[in-house]
Amino acid sequence: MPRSLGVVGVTWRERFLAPQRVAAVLAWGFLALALLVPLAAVVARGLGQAPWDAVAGLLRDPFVRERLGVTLLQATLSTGLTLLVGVPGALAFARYRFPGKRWLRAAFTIPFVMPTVVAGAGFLALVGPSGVLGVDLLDSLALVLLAHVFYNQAVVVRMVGGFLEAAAPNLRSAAATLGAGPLRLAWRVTLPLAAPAIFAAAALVFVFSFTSFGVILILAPGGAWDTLEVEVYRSVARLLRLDVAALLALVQLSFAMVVGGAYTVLQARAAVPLAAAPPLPRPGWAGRLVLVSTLLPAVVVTLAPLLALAVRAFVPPGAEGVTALGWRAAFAPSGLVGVTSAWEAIGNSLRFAAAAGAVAVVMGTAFAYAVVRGRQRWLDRVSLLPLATSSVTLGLGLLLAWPSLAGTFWGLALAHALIGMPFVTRAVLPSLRGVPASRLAAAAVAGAGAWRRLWRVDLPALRASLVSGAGFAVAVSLGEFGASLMLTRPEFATLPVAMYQRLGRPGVENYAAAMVMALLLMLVTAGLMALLDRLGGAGEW
Amino acid sequence: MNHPQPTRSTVKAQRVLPPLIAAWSVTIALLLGVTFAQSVTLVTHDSFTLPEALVEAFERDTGIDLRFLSGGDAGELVNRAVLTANRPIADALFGIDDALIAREGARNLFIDHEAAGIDAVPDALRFAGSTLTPITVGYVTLNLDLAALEARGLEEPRDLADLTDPAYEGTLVVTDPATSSPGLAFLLTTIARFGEGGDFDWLDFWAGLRDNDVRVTAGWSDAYYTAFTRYGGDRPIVLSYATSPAAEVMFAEQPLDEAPTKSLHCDQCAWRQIEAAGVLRGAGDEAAARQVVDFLLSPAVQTAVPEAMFVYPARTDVALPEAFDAFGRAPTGSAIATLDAERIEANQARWLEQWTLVMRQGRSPDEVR
Repeated sequence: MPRSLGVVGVTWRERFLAPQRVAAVLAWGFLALALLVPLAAVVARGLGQAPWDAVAGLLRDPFVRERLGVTLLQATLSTGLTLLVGVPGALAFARYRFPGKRWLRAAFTIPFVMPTVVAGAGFLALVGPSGVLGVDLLDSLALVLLAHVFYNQAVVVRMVGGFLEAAAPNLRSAAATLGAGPLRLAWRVTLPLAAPAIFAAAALVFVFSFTSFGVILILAPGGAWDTLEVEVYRSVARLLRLDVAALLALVQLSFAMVVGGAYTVLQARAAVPLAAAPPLPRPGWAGRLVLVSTLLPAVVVTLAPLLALAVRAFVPPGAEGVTALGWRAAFAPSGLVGVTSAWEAIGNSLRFAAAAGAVAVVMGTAFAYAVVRGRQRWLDRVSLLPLATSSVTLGLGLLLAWPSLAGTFWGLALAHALIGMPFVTRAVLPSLRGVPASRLAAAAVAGAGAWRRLWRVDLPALRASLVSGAGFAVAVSLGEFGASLMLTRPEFATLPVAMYQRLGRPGVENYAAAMVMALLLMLVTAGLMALLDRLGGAGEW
Repeated sequence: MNHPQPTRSTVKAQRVLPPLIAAWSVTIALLLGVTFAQSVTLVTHDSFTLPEALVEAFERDTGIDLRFLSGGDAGELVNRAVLTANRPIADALFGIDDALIAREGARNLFIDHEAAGIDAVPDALRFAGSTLTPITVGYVTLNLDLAALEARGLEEPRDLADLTDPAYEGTLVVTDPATSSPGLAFLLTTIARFGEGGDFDWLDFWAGLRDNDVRVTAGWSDAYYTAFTRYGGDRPIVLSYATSPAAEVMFAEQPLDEAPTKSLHCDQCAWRQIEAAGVLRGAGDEAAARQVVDFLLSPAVQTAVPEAMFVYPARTDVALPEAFDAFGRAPTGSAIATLDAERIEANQARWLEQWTLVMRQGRSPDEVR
C-alpha cells in the first residue's frame, strides 16, 4: 500500500504536506465549520432552553416513537423500491451505448432538482383527488413511495451506472466468452461488481427518504406519514423549540451514522479493482428488448409527472387553452424588488451552481481521499451527516454560528456545497478504493511522489465518478430554494426561489409564470447535466 | 527593476508623481465614499415586494443604500430575529404581525419609533406600545371557487359552523397554523368565533372540520395552487385573503368583468392581519433604520402596497386600485374576529398544542381540554 512506500527519508514537507494530510485537514475543517459548529450551537442553545432529562423524556413519548417507527419503515420501503426500479436501469445504462443516452441520463436527474410543490402538483395531476388517472392516492404510503422513487432513482441510475461503466467490462466479456447467459452474467458478475456503488446509492436514498420533508407535506398532508424531519420543522417553525429540534436532530444524526457505518462495512467487503474500460457495444435485438424493459419503469416514473408539469407551462389551469401568458410574465422585468425575472434567475442559478459545484467537488474529493488514503475512518462514518441533518436545524445553526455569512453570496454557495458534498464523496469513494494498489506501487517505484500519484494515477481513475458526483452537487444547488437553510437576498433569487416568489402571489398570470420557471429549471438542469457528462466523457465509454 | 533608474526617468517621475498621487487619492476617496455611503438593511418575509423605482427614489433622496434580506416566511423571519437578538442581522424589520408578536422574545426586538405619517393610520390598526409601525393590512378569510361550488350544487356557506355540515364534506382546504401565518390567523378567528369551553367551542369546530375531511397544507401556496379547484385541485373553498379575488381579476389571462372567486363575508369570519415594521434594537445605523420605516409608511409606498403585495395600506389617505374596490372589499365591523393581544400572547402556545393534538394526532376535544 502507498502508505508504506517511501517512509525512509521523508522530509518535513513531504510529511506534513502529504496529500492525505491536506485532504484530511480540508475535509474535517469544512465539515466542522459548516456543520458541526452550527449543530453544536443549536444543541447548546436548546439545552439552555430546557434541562436535558426533560428533553430526553421526549424519547419515551409514544407519539415521537411512532414517528420514528413510521419514518424508518417508510425509508426502508422507499430504498428497496428505488433500488428495484433503478438498478435494472443502471445495468442497462452501463451495458450498452445507444442514441440519446446522454439526454436520458440527464433527464433522470431533473426530478432531483424539482421543488416539491411543483413535482407534487405533477403527481397530484396524475393520481390526486382529481387526477387524470382516476385513482386518488393522496395521503397514501403508495404515493409517498412513488415520489421517493421519482426523486431518488437518479441517484441509483447515475451512481451505479457510472461506476459500472468504469468497472472491468473485460471481466464480463470473459464470463460471456465462457458461456454465461445474460441473466447469469448479471447475477453472478455484474451485480457483485456493482455492489459497492449499489450500497453507496442505497445509503444516500435511505438518508434522503428518512429526512423527507416537502414530499410528505404536499402528498401526505394528513400527517399519517410525517417524518421526524416534519416534526422538527413544526416544533421549530411554531414555537422555536430548539430543545426539541436539538433532540430530534441528534436522533436523526445517530441513525444516519448507523447507516453510514453499515455502509462502510458492506462497502469495504465489496471493493473491486478497476481496469480501463473499452467502448460499450450497441445493443442487438435482444439487447434492445432488455434495454426497453429495464428502462421503461424508470422512464415512466420520471417523465410522467414532468410532462404533466411541462403541459402546465403552456396550459395553466384557470386559463382557457394554450397561452403565452406565463412566458411573457416570467421573462418581462417585474419592476418589483422581490419578484425576479427568469433571465436574472437563470443567471443566479448558474452562478450558484458553478460556485457550489466547484467547492463540493474539491471538498468531496478531499473527503474521499482522506478516507481511503489517509485512513480517516471517522470521516467515512460522518460523511452522510450533511444530508441527514434537518435543514431547518442546520439553517438556525448556521445563523447562530456565522451570523456574518447571512445573506452573502458565499454563505449561500457554501451551504449549497455542504449539501452537495456527500454526493461527490459517495460517488468517488468506490472508484478510489478500486484503484489497484499495484498501479500506485508501480508509480511510486518509478519515483512519483504522493501528489504526483494523486494527479497521474488516482484522478484519471476517478473521472467518471467525479462527473457523476459533480452532477449531483450542481443539481443540489440548482434545486435548493434555501428558504429554511440560509438567509438570502432578493437579488440572489435562483430559479426555484423565483418560482416560489410567483407562487406566493394569487392569480393565473403568477401561477403560469411559476410553471414556466419550473420548466426552465428542468431545461437548465438537463442541459447542465448533459454538458457535464460530455466534459467528463461519460456516456462515451 | 532592482536598480535605480537613469536620471532622465527620475525627473520624468518627479513630474508625473504629483498628478499620479492626486489621482490615486481621488480614486481612494471615491472608493471610500462608495464604501462608506450609509447602508441600511431591511429584513423582510419572502412575500415582500416593492417597486424598484420607489427604492431608487428613496436612495437618491436620502443618500442611504437600502438593502433587502429575505428571512423566510413570516414565522421563520421572527424566529431568526429572536435568535440573533444580540447581534441583529439587519437594521429594520418588516413582516411581524399581531399574532407573531406574541412569540417569546419578539416584543423586545424593537426600539421605540414614532413614524412620520403615523397620524394617517387609524387607531384600530395601531399596535400597543410604541415600537411597531403598521404598514399593511390583510384580511385572512375563506375564498370560494364559485363555479366549482355550483357544480357540486352547494350554496355559499353563511357561517363558519356550516363547514362542519356533512354537505360540505371534502370541500375545504386550510393551512397549518403551526407553519403558516394565514393558518395561525384562521385558528385565532375560530377561537374568537366559537370561544373556549362552551357547548360547541373552537376545538369542537376543528374536530368537526377534521371529521368532515378538511385538508391542512403546510403553506398558502400548497393550499391555493395545489388543492384549490381553481388551479386543478379538488377543494372549492380555500383559506386565503379578502383581496385574492381582486388579484384573480388583475392577473387573469383575459380581462374579466366578474371575479371567478369570492371571499367569504360572514359574522366573525375574517382575521385582520396587520403587518408592521420596526427598528431593531442594536441596529448599526439607527437613524437610517428610522428613515426606512418612515419610507414604508410614506404615501408613495403606501399607494404601491396594494398592487405589490395584495394587501391594504395602513394609511387611509391613499387611493386604492379599482379592482380592490370592486372585488377585494375589506370586511368591516362584526365580520372581523378579534381577540385581545394579551389573551393571544398568554395562550397562543397552548392553543397550537391543542390544535396539533386534535388535528394531527386525532385526539378528541375533551381529551385535550
